[in-house]
Amino acid sequence: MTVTVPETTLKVLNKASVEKVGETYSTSQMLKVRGMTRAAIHEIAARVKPGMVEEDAVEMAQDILAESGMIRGWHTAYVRFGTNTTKTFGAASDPGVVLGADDIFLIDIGPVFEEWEGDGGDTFVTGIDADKARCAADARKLFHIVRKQWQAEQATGRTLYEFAVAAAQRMGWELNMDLSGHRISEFPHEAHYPGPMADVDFTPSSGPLWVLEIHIRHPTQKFGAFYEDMLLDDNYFHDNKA
Amino acid sequence: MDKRSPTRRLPVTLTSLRRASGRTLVLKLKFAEGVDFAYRPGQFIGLEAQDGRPRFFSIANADSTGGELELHVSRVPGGAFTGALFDRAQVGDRFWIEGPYGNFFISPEASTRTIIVAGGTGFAPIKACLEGIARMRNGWDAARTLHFYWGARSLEDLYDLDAVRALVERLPGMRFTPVVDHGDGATRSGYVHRAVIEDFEDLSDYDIYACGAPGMIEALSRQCADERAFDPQRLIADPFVAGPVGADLMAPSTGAPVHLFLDREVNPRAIAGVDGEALVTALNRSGVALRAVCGGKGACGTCLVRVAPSWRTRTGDPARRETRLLQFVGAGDGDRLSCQIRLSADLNGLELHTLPQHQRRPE
Repeated sequence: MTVTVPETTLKVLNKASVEKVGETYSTSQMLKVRGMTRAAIHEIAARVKPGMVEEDAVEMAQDILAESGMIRGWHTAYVRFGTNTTKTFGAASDPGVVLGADDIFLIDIGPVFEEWEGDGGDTFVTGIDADKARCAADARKLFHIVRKQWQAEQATGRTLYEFAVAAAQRMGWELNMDLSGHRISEFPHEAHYPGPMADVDFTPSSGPLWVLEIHIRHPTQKFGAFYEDMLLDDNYFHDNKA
Repeated sequence: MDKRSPTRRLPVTLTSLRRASGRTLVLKLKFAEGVDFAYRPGQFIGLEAQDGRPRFFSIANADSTGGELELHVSRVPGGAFTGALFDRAQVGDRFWIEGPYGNFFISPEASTRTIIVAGGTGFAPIKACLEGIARMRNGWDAARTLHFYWGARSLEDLYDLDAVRALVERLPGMRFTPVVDHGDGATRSGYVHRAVIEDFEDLSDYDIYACGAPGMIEALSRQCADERAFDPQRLIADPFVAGPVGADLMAPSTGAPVHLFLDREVNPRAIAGVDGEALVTALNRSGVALRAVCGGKGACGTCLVRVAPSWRTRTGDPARRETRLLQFVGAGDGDRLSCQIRLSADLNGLELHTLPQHQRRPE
């Protein structure tokens, strides 16, 4: 049987169509949601304690987002404990994981405030395990290394993530390419472009129109770390040491 | 009956082609020598068209002992495939079939209060089931009464009526009522589902088996429930599904089908979900195209449907988080996130309304 690909599926990923925004898009509102998202991540992290069951932390995170006026999410809120930090986006966590006293956990939220999407993630440790602490710190560090590469070299989405894979490897981690950046805009961004940043062959614009995601995993042990924020230049980061 | 026949793709040859009425063809398809094609009466097959896509037809004979399958094909207005069968197919033509699919089945141990309703070529799977029962030794308890209604537009469209009467005679206790939209005085006149309502005052303790157009099945279920206390959970249906919806039809092979009725006032249609899956999955597989931005995680509020009032107890109350999101998106009475409703046998016959705006925002 011959399969004919309909012409409509052969959509060219040109910059103008991929970076489209809707009528309600607003740079200032996007940056406001960014601030709300970062604040929510830290509020959630502050309430996560050793001995907590992951499902309760997720419930708590959703309550914090709702109390902050971000009831809707373009993706659901993830709080992942211990071995679940290796799970890829969308994958169900192993149930009933309890956070240990010397453990690692990540937060990944995609809230919507009024019309505008936020997206952010970070990783935290509860004890003194050096590998876990380095993993969490390296996710953030790699985020800024890759972001600076974009800023300095005007790298395309594809080359940026090729660079990220190699940089992660040099640091001793494996980069999860399931999480390789994406658009952000007025809700829902998928109306403009639902695919990954790593698939585009142009330099992503500042906007904010994109988020940069870094999910690294230990090559042999069952833990990982995640860091995510909007793709913006140095002026938008106080803590941008790569 | 839990054992399922394996699904296969096999070549067949058209051995008989009979115009049973102006709108109905009866085909016989023969397998190659030695092929044993196992299926249950009530199941259907896909007949591959030249474009490689299957069109689905119920098997009208109880088994393929003679190496043949019988199909009843009604002409779809403007339909390229059925048009080609009517106008150009010839004995000796070769096709590919795939199947068997589906879980429709009339059990000989069914309730003593059973009504079977067929519309047009919806008679085909019922013929297969009744032939199967008639062949069984002690297959049918003569003390039971079984009612069989067969409806069509005109008397001509009740094709093979003599053969049906002969079959009915082999099933003692069976009462057969042919119904046509506009009768001639000798045949019952009106819509087939209204005939059932006219004949029974109380359907609260009946099982109804129905095969035919989705609109007929939906009207039958709803009007019997509204007017005669019928429990829609006791409807066992095999609706026609138009178009290339193979994935939808094949899906029930992984679980029991759960029949859903959409938009009864404006654009009635029936679709098949699968026991255990999320409602949003069944709806989107059938082309409803809910956005479900968050991938069915209950976060985004873009997969809203409205559950009909009579079904709201069975779909249950939304959880705390869903309630919060429903309020946020300005949902109305009975609106639910379809990703948060898990299909089960309890929801067989579920009536829903799709909403014109799947992505709602507060005022």
